[in-house]
Amino acid sequence: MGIVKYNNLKDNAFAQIDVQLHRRHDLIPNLVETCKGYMSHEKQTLETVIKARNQAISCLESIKKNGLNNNLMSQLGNAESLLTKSLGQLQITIEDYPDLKANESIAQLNEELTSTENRISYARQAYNDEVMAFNTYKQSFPQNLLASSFGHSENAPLLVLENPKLRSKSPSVSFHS
Amino acid sequence: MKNFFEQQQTNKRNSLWLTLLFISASIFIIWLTQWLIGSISDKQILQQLDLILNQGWDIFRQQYNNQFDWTISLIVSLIIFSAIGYKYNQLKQGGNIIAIQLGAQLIQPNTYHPLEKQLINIVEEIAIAAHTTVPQVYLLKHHSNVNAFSAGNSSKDAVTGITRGALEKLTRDELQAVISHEFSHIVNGDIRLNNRLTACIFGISFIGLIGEGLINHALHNSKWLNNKNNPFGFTALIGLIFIIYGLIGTILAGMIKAAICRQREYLADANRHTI
Repeated sequence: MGIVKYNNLKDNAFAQIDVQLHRRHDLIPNLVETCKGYMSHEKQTLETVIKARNQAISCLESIKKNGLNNNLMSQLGNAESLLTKSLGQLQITIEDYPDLKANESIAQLNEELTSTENRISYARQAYNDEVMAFNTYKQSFPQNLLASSFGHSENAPLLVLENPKLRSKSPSVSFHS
Repeated sequence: MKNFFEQQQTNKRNSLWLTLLFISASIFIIWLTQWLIGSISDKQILQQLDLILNQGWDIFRQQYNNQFDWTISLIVSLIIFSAIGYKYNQLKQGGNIIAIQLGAQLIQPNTYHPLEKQLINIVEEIAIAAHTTVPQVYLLKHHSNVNAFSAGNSSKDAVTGITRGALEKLTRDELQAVISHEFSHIVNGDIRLNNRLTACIFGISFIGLIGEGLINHALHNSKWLNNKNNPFGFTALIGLIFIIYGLIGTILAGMIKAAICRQREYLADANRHTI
């Protein structure tokens, strides 16, 4: 398998993430609109979500325009992590509105969002595996001597998303007497 | 973690193991047939009847060796192999046929039922994780216990399904674990092995099944209370002979099934975590 094949596999894997990210971005306006009908004084939370979504979309657009590189990829990772965080905030807010929580379309949207987040994480795993295969191939002998002259000078970037569940502070334990 | 090639190796070894077990079971059945029918139909017995009556069976056997009756062996192996061929062809048509035979119903991907939608979502997620195509999803509506299955011949025509009990009782995460277990069966090629296994088992227990069929037929069709010829007794007797004769096949089939399936379940459990 040559470097071209590894490169294409990696690009294909990123396209899979792209599909799932789009799915998530398309779901969010629906969620926000449904929430707006019930929430009277939580405009702040909703606006944070919309802002994070728009930023994530623009990151995705610029990656499509400029190709995969380290800087844009880490920007995308940050934007998506921020979106996940703000969505988590919104979920907590929804808990305060029993009517909204009982709403059927909210339940449906939540299921779709959960599923999409799982899909993103699996697609990301697949993408990172392909990146690892690409980079390992590129850095090994004798490809390391030739790769840059055939247009593969940079290592492919990993996509890192922070999982808010894992990041939440662990309870501190102290043994004072 | 096993890589793909080691995995294939294991699969091949399992198929080989299955073939060996199956061949030894067939040989055992044929040998039994020889012992039963061959010694009855042996022409030497009729010719040397005087010898047997005067000096006993052992002396007769010392002088005239047991002859191998090819016709009977051929007929028995023909029965077994045609039964296998029939069953394998039936199973080869794809997972859908098997699922429908199980009494499962296809879930449409655009379903409105919230739990069914969740199931479809989970299957699609795991398909992304396992790098396979999305199988069709079936639901066993009339089973309230928690169980799941996957069937098919390759990952292209594979189907997966769960019982209604599993759909309603399990949480999303639990369901995800169950579905990924079923996916490991698909990815490991267990479903194909399972088809072969089912066909082989059907072959060697076919004789016993004929017997059961005959008895059932006799039970349902006989009017033996008002029929002087009493066909019930005769058919049932033949059926009983077949069952006793096929019993060895049935027992061997059970042993083969137990030996292979358990191993595959452990493997699927182990493999689930990699997905």
